[in-house]
This record gives sequence, C-alpha cells and structure tokens, in this order.
Amino acid sequence: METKATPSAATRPAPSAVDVFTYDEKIVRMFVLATAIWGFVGMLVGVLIALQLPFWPANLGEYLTFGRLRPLHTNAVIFAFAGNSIFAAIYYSTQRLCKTRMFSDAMSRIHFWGWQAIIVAAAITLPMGFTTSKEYAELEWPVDVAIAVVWVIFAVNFFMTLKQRREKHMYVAIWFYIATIITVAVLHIGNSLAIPVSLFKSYPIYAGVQDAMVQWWYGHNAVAFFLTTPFLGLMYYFLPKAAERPVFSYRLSIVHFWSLVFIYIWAGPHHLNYTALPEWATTLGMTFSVMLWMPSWGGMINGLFTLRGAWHKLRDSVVLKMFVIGITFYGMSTFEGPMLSVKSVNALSHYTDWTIGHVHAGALGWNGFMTFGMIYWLLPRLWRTKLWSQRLATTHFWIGTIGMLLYVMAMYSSGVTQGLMWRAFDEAGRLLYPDFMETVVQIVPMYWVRLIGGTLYLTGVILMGINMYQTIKSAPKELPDPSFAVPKVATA
Amino acid sequence: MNPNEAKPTPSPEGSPDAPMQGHSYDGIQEYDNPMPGWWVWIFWATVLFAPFYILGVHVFGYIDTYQEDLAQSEQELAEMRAAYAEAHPSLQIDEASLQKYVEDPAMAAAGAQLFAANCASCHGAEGQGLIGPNLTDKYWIHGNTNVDLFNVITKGVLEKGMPPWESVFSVEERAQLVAFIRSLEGTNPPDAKEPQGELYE
Repeated sequence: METKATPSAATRPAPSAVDVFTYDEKIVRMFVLATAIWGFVGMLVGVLIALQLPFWPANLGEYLTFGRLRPLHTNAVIFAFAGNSIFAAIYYSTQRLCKTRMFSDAMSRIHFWGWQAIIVAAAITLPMGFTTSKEYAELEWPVDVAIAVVWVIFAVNFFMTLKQRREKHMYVAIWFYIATIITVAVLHIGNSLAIPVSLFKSYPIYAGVQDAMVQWWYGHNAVAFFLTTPFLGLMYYFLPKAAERPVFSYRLSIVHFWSLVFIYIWAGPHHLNYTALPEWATTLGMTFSVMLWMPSWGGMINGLFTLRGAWHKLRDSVVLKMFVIGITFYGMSTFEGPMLSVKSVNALSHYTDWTIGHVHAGALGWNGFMTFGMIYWLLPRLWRTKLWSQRLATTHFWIGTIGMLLYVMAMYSSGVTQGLMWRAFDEAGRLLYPDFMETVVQIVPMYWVRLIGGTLYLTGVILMGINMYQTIKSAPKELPDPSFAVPKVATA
Repeated sequence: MNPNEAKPTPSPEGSPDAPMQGHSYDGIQEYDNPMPGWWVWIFWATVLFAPFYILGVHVFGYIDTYQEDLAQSEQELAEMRAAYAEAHPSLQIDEASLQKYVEDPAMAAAGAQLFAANCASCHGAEGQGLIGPNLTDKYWIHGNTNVDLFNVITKGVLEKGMPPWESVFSVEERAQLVAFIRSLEGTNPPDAKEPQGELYE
C-alpha cells in the first residue's frame, strides 16, 4: 500500500480506478515562517524582561515594564512560537499520514490568519494592561472568544481530514494530535468562562479557591496538551523520518499515550500546594504527578530507542542532534516535574526561580529544539532546495545548547538559594533573612547569567532566521503542491 | 496498565527483528518491542504509591498532614527559642534597664543603624516623620516612657500601619532603638511632620 509519487503505481487497477490527490504545502510554509518570526519576537521580549530584573532602568515607561511584558513573553513563546510550530507539524504530517489533502484550504487559511490576528491582539492588549490576571490565560474575553472560534474551525478541518483519509489505521502521531485538539478546546473554554462587564473587562464565573483550582487545571494542562502531546506527535512523525528507522515499540506508544492523557489532567492541584486549596486536592495532584513520570518517559524511550542503530547519523545530521537534545531535556523536565510536585520538595521550591528553571528546561529544550529540528528538516523539502548552511545550523545547535544550560543552571542555583534563605533561622529561632530584599540582592548575579544564556539562545534563533532566509532565496519560483496517486479504495 | 504488557512476549510478526506488518504510514514503520521492564515496574511502583500515600495522609494517619507538620515545626521552633533564651538571659525590660541604654551613646549609635535600615522609610531619615509620626518632638500618641516606646516597637500598632518587630529584632536591638529614638528629641529636623498625640513635658 505504498504511495508512489507518480501515477505509475496504477499498474494493477484500471486507470480509471486511480485516485490522484495533492498535499497543501503552502499552508505549512506559512506556519513555518510564522513560527520563526514569532519565536524571534517572543524570545526577544524574554531577553528584555530578563534584563529588567537585574537592571531596573530597562523598564521603559508605562507599557514596557516587567509586569506587562512578562505575560506578553509567555503568550508569544507558547501560543505564537510553539503554537505555529505544532500547526506546521500537524498540517504537514496529517496530510501524509492520512494520504489526503486537508479537508478545506479555506479553513486552513482562516485558521492561519485568525491565529496570527489573535497574537497581534495579544501583543497590543497585554502591554496596555488588559488582563484577566490568570497565568497563560491573560487575554480578555473578546480575544478568548476569537481563540475558541479559530480553534473550532481548526478542529473541524482536522477531523474532516481524518474522515476522508485513505489510510485505514491512524498512526500514533495522529492520536496525540486528536488529544491536543479536543483537550485544548475543553481547557480553554472551561477556564475562560467569564461574565463581561465592558469590552475589555470580565470576571470569571468561578470564585476564590475554585477559580484558582480551575485556573491550574487549565494551566497545568496547557503544558500537557499544548506543549507536550502535540510535540510528541511531532516527534513520532519527524524523528523516524529523519533517522530513517522504524519506531521502537508500538505497544509502548499505546500504553504511554493512554496513561499520559489520562493521568495528566489530574495533576493541576500541585501548583497550589500549601495554599487555601483543601489538602486532599493537593494530595491527589501530587500522587497523579508522581504517576505521570513513567508515561512521560515512555515518549522519551520511544524517541531515543528509535535511534538504536542510527546513532552514527547524529554526527552529520543537525536535525537528529536537535531532536536528541530536545528529547533529553523532555526526559529531564518530566522527571523534575513529578519531583517538584512532592509536597516536601515543593515546600522548598515553590515561588522560587527553580520553577522558572524547570519550565525553561522544557520550553527551550523540548519545545524549542524539537521545533528547530523540524524546521531544519522541512526547509529543504518545503522549498525544494538545499539548506543554505549546515555549519550555521550546527552553530545554532551548539550556541542554543550552551545558552540553555547557562539559563537553567542559573535559575536552579538562584531558586535553591531563595528557598533556603526564606526558611533559614538563626540559633535564637528568628528568621535569618527577615528582610525580603536580602534574598533578592543575593540572586542578582544569577539574573545576569540567565540573561547571557537567554541571549545566546536568541542568537541561535537569529542564525536560524538567516539560514532560512538564504535557503528560501535559493528556492525555485514555482512550488506546486506535490501530487500523488493511489489505487482507488472502495470507501465504506 | 495491563500487566500482560510487562511480559516480553515476542510477537510472531514485527518485534524485535522485523517491523510490524501493515504498519507503514508515509514510510514510517513500527517495531513491536516489549516495553522495558524497568519502565513497567517503576510505573507500577508509582501507581501503588498513590493509595499508600493518600490513605496514609487522609485515612490512617501514618503520614503527617500539613497541620500536623506545621504544629511539629512550631513546637521545635518554640523549644529552640526557649533553649536560646535560657542560655542567653535577656535584659529585663523596665524603665531603669532601658534608661541605661538611653544613657549609653554606643547603644544609640547601634540603634541608629537599625533605624536607618528598617524605620527610616516610614519615620524619615532623621525621625522627622513621613507616613509614621514625627519622633523628634514632644508629642506622643502611645505614651512616652521608655517602656511605652519599647512596647510599640515590639507589638506594633497594626491599625495604624506600624508592624510588630519582635520577630525581627532581639530584645537588645529593640532597646538600642529606644536609645536612638530618645536621642532624637529636640533635634528639630527640617520638614518635620506636624505634632500628633499628647504633649509630654
């Protein structure tokens, strides 16, 4: 049942029984470009706010202060950079895994332009101070409505594409995409339910600790279903493609998929350890977080073991280098996550920079490097030319790796320092550092190291941008959608 | 979570030598290797840990709840403080013992440093009063004996925004602050806040 790129596959069935179809590659190119552009913007804002912490004069005026720009940074890198990245992965791989073009080109375009418009709306409203103050859900209700509408259009387009597929079974990457699309819709709508009082102000329908609980059910599963499951889908498609090796274990993929999606959704209360949330809820959150360790590592194992017998390919392939570091950081942060959720560890780490280090190990390592690997793999294929510079891509790999190591080491060190100072008593039983400012002054050097790490990582992204620009410049003028033919199957 | 998944049963097709029949998606094939044993067993261990922990905290009590942990820590802290107080007998606070501090310029100088770091933001760098009252005039809201001053520093006046300092400053440090504040009387700094409270001559 192999697809052939030419109609010559139609040897056995009569010519009339041949099904010719094309893949929409233009939409993938659009999402890839948006990924790179928003990645640069989001990380630039990240570097600016990293500077604002140790150097306050970098807080400029009313609109460009840390408090306004921090949500802009998180929204830009999560929903703009990682978001466009997973859409590129989904639009590229779903068509091929289902042997069909997307259901509707128009819906694909509405999805693309709608999503970019939402990002622009976020980039305007957040610095202006319009915010719900819910982390990763700061956007006010008109933007929330737009997100829901665009997401539903995306979902309809995706599921109709599955419906018209020419492949009997659905590959594991598709399962992860399905989980992503359904759950993100439920999370976003559930957490954003609010009563508007004016065009840019609304109040959530939940109150007090229930609001906090719903918020972290959403917040934790934004990590799960926006930054984990779609990227696992991405890994399951692009890693075996780049390594040219079969996936290690089908049964492991089944078990870790179902255990991951079932367990993740319960883990949110660990964000509210030692708060007004009833203790039984945080106990539940902690135990489910601990159970999440192996389901997460199932993805890492299936990724790394797929490279058995292909490790020598890493030497020459920047794509595989990126993927291996990405998957390794995924493994590290999904061990760290359950560990941080354990109440006694959380008592030290909560509210410290350790959390910042943890999320950036996941975001820079897993989301960033998986995205970069995918882009370097897609560039020559989508633009039908050679990558402009392998050496520049390898430089990006090293500079990014060093940058992110500096970043997370600085934050671990700063976080543990803060945690230990806050709880330190002298021999008389009094707080050793009763003045909060003492603990801030202590970590300022680590903020500078973090700034250096982040700047290196951003430099790597700029190198990728140059490489993309030069590669695309050498592309042929016409990039027609690739056309395929398969024997017509009697569809039920 | 199916226990059968743990057993490395080599399937006739696919694992571990050849990819599975019928599993080819856009050229991607799959093996059906057994799941690594350590992976399965750690997963089971974490699953079993959940009821062990939940029952321990919330039903049978063999693991401390937050309230129990907190009570235990507070008790340890209280014992630590008691032991320290016994080993380091503190100043008896009365008018006369505080007066010794007031008359010792070294104590007032030590108090000045504490004042600059902790009090000046509300009472002004020279005690002239900002958010907090002027400490250089003869008007006092909560009494003007040495013991009155000491008590206001110790317990604060929460309804007016003065925080209690007893967990921050030792008894000696609070006595040094009293000594410093006493030294301010009559200094007449510029921009002094208007008098508040009663006049004490």
